[in-house]
Amino acid sequence: MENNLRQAVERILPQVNKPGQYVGGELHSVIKDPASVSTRFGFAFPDVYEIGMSYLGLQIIYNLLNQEEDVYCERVFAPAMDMEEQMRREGIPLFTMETTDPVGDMDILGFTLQYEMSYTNIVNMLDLAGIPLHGQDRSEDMPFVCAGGPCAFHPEPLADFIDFFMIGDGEEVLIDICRAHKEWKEAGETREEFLKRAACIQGVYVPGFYQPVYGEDGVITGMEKLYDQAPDRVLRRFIQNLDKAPFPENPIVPLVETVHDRSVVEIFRGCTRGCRFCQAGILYRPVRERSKDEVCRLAQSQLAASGWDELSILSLSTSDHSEIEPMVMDLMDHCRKKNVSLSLPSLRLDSFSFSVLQEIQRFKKTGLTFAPEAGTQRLRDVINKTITDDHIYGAVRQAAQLGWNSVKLYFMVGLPTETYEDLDGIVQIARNLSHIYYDVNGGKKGARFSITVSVSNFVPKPHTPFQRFPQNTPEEFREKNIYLKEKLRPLKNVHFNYHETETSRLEAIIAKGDRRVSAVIEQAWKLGCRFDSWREHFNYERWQQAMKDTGVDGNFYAERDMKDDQFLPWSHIDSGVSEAFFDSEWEKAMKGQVTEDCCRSCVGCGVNSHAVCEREGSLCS
Amino acid sequence: MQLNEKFVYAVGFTKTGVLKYISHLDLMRLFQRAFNRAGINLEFSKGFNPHPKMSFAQPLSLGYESRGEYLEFELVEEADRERLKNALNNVLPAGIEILHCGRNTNTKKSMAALVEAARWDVTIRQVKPQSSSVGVEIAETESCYKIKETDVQDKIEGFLKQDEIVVQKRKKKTKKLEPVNIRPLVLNMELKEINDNNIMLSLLVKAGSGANLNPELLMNAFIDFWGLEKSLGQLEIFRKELYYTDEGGGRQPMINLLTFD
Repeated sequence: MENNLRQAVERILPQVNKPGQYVGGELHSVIKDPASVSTRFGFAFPDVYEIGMSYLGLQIIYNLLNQEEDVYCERVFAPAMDMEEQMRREGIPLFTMETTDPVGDMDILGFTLQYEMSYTNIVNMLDLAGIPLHGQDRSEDMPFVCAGGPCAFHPEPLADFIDFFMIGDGEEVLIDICRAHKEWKEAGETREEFLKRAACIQGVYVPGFYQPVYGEDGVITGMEKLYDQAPDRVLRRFIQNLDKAPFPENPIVPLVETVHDRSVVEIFRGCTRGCRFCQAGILYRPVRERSKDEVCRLAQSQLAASGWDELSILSLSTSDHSEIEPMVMDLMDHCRKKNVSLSLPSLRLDSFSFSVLQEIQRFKKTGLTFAPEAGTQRLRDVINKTITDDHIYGAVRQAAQLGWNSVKLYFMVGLPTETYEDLDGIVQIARNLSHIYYDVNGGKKGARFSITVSVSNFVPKPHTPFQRFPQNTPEEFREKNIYLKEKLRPLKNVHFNYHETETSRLEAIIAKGDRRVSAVIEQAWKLGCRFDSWREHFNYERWQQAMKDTGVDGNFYAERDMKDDQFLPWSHIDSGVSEAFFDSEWEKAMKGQVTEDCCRSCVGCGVNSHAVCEREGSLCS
Repeated sequence: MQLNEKFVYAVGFTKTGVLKYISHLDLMRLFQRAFNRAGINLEFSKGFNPHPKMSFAQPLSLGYESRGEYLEFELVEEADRERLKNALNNVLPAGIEILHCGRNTNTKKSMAALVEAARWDVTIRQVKPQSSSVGVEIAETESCYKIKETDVQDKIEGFLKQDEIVVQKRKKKTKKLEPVNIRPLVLNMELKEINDNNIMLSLLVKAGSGANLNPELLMNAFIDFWGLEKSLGQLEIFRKELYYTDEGGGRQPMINLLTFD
C-alpha cells in the first residue's frame, strides 16, 4: 500500500494527537485490489475514528459490502482538528483507512447520519476530499455522495450535499445500489442516468428529482417531482429476518482505544413500547429478533476472533427479547469461562435482572440507570412511558440492599403539556430515593451513595406523534433547568446536570428543517463550525451568524406549532407508520390516555402492511 | 512441580510499521487480546479490580520502531515456549513479531527493574547545514551538498568531548522546562552508515527507572551542535536492544537474561 499520499501522511503523523487512528492496519480490516472490483465504496463516519469505530452499523455494513466480490468498502473518518490543520497545510486530501487513497477515487461515498450535530463534518469532509459541496456541481467522474441511517428519514437539510439517500434497513438496499452501479458502469451511461436507476430502487430518495414548493407564508406545501418514475413517497426498506441478515463474526479490532472497545451483538431491532417522543421506536419498527442461539453463536465467534475482554448486547430495550433470560444465562456462562465482562444495557430492573447484575457486577457495581423521562405519572401517561414511581422506588430499595450505591435518573423538560408540577415531581423522586438510601443504611447521615439527575431538553422529532409540537424556547428551557437546579441544590448526595439549551435548539432546527436549512449548515461550516456535538467545539454564535447570513429563521422550524400544516418537510419519506397513527397518538396524549405495548395487542400503526410483526400480540394472554 | 510455582515467561518482540503509532497502553491491550485469541490463559491479579499479570521491560515512545522489546507475563499453567511463540505469532498483527520466548533467569527482579541501557539506531534524514551556520565546510553549492564521513566523525568526536551537554527538559511534575546535563547518560555514539545525505548513528544511552535518556533529546542537541537544518519527520528512531548489568558488573543485552531450556 505504499503510495505518495501515504508518505505525505506519515510525515505529518508525528505532529498530531493519537496518530494510530489514521493508519489503518487493524486486525480484520480488509485488503483488496481496488482494480479488481467494479465499485469502490467509501463508508464515511462524520466524526473521529474513536467514535466511528464504536458504531456497530459500520462493522455490519463493512462486513456486508466486503463479502461482495465486486465491491471494496473502505472506511473514512473525520480528521480531528489538529490533523485537519496539518492536512490542509500540506495539501493532503481526505483519504481512506485501507489504502490511503484519496476519497475522490471512490465510486460511491456513503455517510452515516447518526445525529444532526455531525452535519458540518460532512460538509468539511467533502471539502477535504475535493468534492464539490453541491450535488449539482459534481462532474461525471466524481464519486456519488449518498447517506443513510436514522437521520436520512428527514433528509431535506442535507439535500444540497447528498446525491441520494437510503431510507431504512441498509443491508439490502446497499447491495442493490452496488449492483445498479455496476450495471450502470458497464452500460457507460451518464451520472444522471445512474441517479435515475437509483431512484427506482425501493428506499432510495434522490433529492435532485424533487423540488420543494413553499406557500406564501414560507411553509412547505409539497414536493414537485422532476422525474416521473421517482416515487411520490419514498418507502423505507425493511429486512425481515435478522437471523439470516449478515452480521460480522470477524469485526475490525482497532489498534487504538475507542469509546466502546468491545464485542457487540445486536439482539433485536425495533421496540414495541410506543413512547411518543421516541423516534427510534418508530424508525426501527417492527420488532425483529435474532434468536438466542444465533446471538450466542455470534458472540462466541466474535470473542474468539477479536480477543476482546468485554461483550455487550444491543437493542432498544434488552429485557423485551422473548428469550432474554436463557440468553443472558448462556452468555454469562460463556463470559465467566473466558474471563470476559458482560455488559447489559437498558435492562428493566426486575428480580431476574438483579440476580444477573449481582453476578456480572460482583466486583464493581457500576450503578443503575432509570429513565422515567417525566416527573409525574400524569406526564408519563402523556408520553406513554409506562414506568411508575413505585417501580423505581421498589427497584432502588432492592438495589440499595444489595449494595449498589449510585443511581442515575434521566428526565426531559419541555414535553407537551408540562407544568412546573411535573418538575416538582422530578425533585420529589430524587428526595424519596434519598430517603430510601438513608433508610436502608440504617439512617446513617454519612452513608455513601449518589443520585444523579440528568435532564435533557426535549427536541420534537420527525416521524413521531410529537413531530408537530413546538419546542420550548431557550428561555423556557433555561428557566426550567435553573428551577430544578435550585430545588435540587439542598438535597445532599444528589447531583444535577442538564444540557445546553443552544445545542437542543439547533438540533430541533436541523431535525425539523426543510431544504433551506442546507444553506445554514454550509454557511456555519464556512464560519468555522465543526464537531458541533463536542461541547468544546460547539459555537452557537457562529450558527446564529450563519442563519442571519442566509436569511433563515431557525425559530420558524423549532418553535412554530405545525399542527395545521398539510405537508411536513419529511412527508415524502414514508416510515411505514401511518400519519393517522401519529394523529391519533397525539390526540390520546392530549387526553392523557396511554397506548398499550403492542406485543399485547396490535395498536394499528400500519407497519405490518409492509413487514411481519414478530411480537404482535405475543403477550396477549 | 512445586505447589507455589509461578509460570512466568518473557518474550522479545518487534514493534514496527504502523504499530509504531500506537501507545504503550494500546500495546498492553493489544497483547491482552492476542493472548485471548490464542487461547493462552494469563494469570490475573487478585482483588477488587483484577488485571492480567503482564509488564513491559521498558515503554517505547510513540513513533519509534523497535526490535528490542520485552514483555514478561504469568500464565495459569506451564506452557511449551516454542508453541507459545508460534501461537502468539499466529494471532499478532503485522508489525509485532515474537522473536524469542524464554524465562527470566533472575528470579528476584523483573526485566523492568533490571533495564539499565538501550541501544538505538537513529537516522537523520537529508542532513543539510543551516545556511547561516559557520564552521561548516560546504563542498559546493548547497543544493548538491554531499556529506563526508570524516565530517560526521569529527562532529561526533567534538560533540562527545564536551564536558556538559545541556538540554531543556520538561519536568514531569512542574511541566516547566529546565536545563539538564545529559552528557553522563550517553555511553556511546558512533556513525553507522551514510546513505545519500541520510546518516545513521548507533547510540548506547542510559535507560530504565534510574536514569533514562530519550534519543530524540540527544539528537536534537547534536543537530544544534552541528548547526544542521531542522525539519519535520527528520529523525527515524529504532530501538535495537535493551541492556542490564550482570552480577559481575558487565553490561549484557537483555536476551542474555533469558533461558531457553
